[in-house]
Amino acid sequence: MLPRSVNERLLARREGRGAMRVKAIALALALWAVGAAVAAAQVPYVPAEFLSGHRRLQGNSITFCVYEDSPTYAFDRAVAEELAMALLLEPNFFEVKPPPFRLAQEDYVEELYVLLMDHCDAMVGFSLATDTYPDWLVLTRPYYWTPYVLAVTDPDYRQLSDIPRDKAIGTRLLTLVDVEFINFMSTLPKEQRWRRFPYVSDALLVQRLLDGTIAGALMWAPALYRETGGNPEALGIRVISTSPLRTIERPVGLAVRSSDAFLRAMLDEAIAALTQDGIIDELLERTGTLGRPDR
Amino acid sequence: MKTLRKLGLLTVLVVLVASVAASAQLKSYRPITDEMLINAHKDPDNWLMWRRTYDLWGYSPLDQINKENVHKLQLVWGIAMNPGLQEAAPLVYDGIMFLHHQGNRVQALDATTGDVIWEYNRVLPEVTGAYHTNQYQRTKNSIALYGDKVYLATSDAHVVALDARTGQVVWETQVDDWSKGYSYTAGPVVAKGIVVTGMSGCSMTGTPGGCYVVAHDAETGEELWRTYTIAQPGQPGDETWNGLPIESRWGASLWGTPSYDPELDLLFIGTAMPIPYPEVVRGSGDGAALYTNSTLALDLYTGEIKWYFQHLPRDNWDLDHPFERILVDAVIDGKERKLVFGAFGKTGIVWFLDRETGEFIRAVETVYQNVQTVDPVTGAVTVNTDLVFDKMGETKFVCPHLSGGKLYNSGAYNPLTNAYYVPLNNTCMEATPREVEFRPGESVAGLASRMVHAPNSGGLVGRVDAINVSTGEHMWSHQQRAPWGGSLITTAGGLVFGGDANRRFKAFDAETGKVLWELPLTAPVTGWPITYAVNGRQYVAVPVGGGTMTNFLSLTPEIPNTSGSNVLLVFALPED
Repeated sequence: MLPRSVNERLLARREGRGAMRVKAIALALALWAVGAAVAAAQVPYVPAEFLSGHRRLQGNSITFCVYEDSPTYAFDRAVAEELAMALLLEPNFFEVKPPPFRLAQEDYVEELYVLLMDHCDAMVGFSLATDTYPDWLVLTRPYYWTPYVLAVTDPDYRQLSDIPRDKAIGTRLLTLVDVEFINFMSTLPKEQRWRRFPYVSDALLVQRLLDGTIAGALMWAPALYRETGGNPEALGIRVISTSPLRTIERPVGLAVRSSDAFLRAMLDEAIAALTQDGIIDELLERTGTLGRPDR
Repeated sequence: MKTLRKLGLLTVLVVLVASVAASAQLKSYRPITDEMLINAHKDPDNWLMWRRTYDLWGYSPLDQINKENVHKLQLVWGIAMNPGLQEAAPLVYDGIMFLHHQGNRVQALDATTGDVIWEYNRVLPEVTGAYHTNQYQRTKNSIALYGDKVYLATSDAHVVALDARTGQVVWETQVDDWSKGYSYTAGPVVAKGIVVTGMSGCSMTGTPGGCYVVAHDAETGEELWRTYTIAQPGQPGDETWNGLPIESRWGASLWGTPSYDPELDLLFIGTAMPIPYPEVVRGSGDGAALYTNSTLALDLYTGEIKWYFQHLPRDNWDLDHPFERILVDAVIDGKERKLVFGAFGKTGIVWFLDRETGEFIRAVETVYQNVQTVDPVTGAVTVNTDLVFDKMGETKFVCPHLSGGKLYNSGAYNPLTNAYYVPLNNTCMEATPREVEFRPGESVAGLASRMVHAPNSGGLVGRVDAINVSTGEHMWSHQQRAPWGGSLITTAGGLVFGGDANRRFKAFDAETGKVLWELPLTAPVTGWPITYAVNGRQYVAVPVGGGTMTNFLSLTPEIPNTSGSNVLLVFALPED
């Protein structure tokens, strides 16, 4: 069992280092040992020059990859620090500059593989909801859930179905809510469908909502708040129901290599402890992040 | 000790001699004129441009190496090349090889020994992300020679002119912002003082509105014109995007180098698919999405689109059409026609068009495909709407796989056999449009695919077909287990050279398809071979190392992927 609160954890750190140190050493050893034991048969083909060729030695630290431009960067990083503290490890961060948007999953898988081989033990802020990840990748339990929303400027709209069908709806391309919208529209007769304008930039999506190109914007809530300075209402933007689309929330957790099963189990335990202790709630509030802990 | 001193002295002397000889070659460098390029057919020793001639035949009149003696070929020199996807295409002029490596490194080499004469290394900005990095990793098929300069199109979206004698930069022009994703992956063609390049990388967020063909003054680098390959708002073809804003239109990258007709002053270039792949995601409905998957005939001086022909409208499967456009004058049905032809796209269909007008003449199927039918009289394309995705998550059996069929590796035309030789692979895919959010709120993918064997292929993947250009009939088809690799060339010696993903470099009898010679090399054969002559000796050079073509090895698990250690290997007959 992991300690149950920050104070208890700090106490444990001072007083109970023996047992925890064994655990930390075991974790470090596990991290070290699995470095060379990646399931070769199922990993993507990565040219050798993409990999450093060195085994990372971690000692009593753990390194998290974090996307530096994520709308939830501050929250993800704070969670990672708490997780490290719970595991009695020193947190290190490898800040990932997100590349321009691409459309090939294979490219992303390859990139993620290189990150987890060369730079970090776990990726924070990782989406968990699909079943399309490669076999070499495993995901922790979520540390929070966060919703997709429909943003509008017209005061008459109360839900998606209020928007006239000759208007255009903007979406953040290929997000969960976009997919939901695509599939919903495929059930409608053609004349009852909205025009769907896919965008790949949250900023552009908000801009086109404000200039009237689109009547509604389906997007991730933290992104809406980031692009509106935390106050969409000040710009005349309201969040309304996505009905008749179902409410969509996205679970967010960490990604690790499947060969790091021990690490995944440790992180799962730590997430459970942080959730139970109210630490996740506290961090959501402190960082102004829209979302809820995993219940 | 004395022996050592002697050896040292000898080494110094050899180096001095080599260096003097090399610099002597460059002091006598003759500027390359339009006349020399237009008449490159009549200059057997040199390989002056990507496919040797403006019409992209990939044919050499050299016949010292021929059917009778090809089995005697032996390695005469080789040189290490930069790592990355091996898609290099060397050039040779007056005994000097100009070799473009991945990473925009250019070398001038003694074409008989590989000794380095000069070298240019571009310092590229660092990029992040696998897709962008892959763009960088691709060698830019070729560079171009014109006047006293060497022209290259770079990964960071510049066009650069080097002094052919020294490798020093004469001018460089930034064409676009590399950090948004714009990146050159194909080399320039230079004609009548104009450097023409096609931009690629338009699959990324920073590139809405699509890619473009762009022309620069060969002397100064000044931009002369730019023609977009996605229909712009208010222009013809705009309506084929069903009202989608220009900022939400992506694609139509240019992955190849244009062919050029000096009489018509027309450039012929092919475009890639629309992005995202499935129309249900793209938002363009059942629109054709012009000018994706098209042949464009452009005026050399203005860039005006004189005509276009769209080979696969409303593409849903990443089956782009950016490959070589070969120009031949041939008699078809008793009538002399000016043709532009080739397997333009991944479907492997060989298209024959009139290059003056864009009129459809013929379409010849090669590998199994199930995405379209072509009216044999009008050329009208009917897309198989059964394979158009209605919603996310549904899986369709689509042929070929999104790697082709045909891929970047070029076919070749031999005037002696009147045959087009085309490298292919028998593949299909189980394709599923789906979202994959790695970061909440930001996704990738659009189309997940699993490569599978094509029906009735018997497990044979690699393939080279020979097609009679006048009749459209298949002359022969070589099919093998190992996936095909690099490009083909053909010669007056009655040969077709090319290599596969299992390291085998082969020489076929151009008339029968019989394999006359083959040699396992160091890695998959994935570049553009060339042949040339210096001082009366014919050489065959082939870039080896691996790259995109090794994707097909997933169909042949018994063949290991030996990619890596890029090299250029050069063969010749024994001197005695």
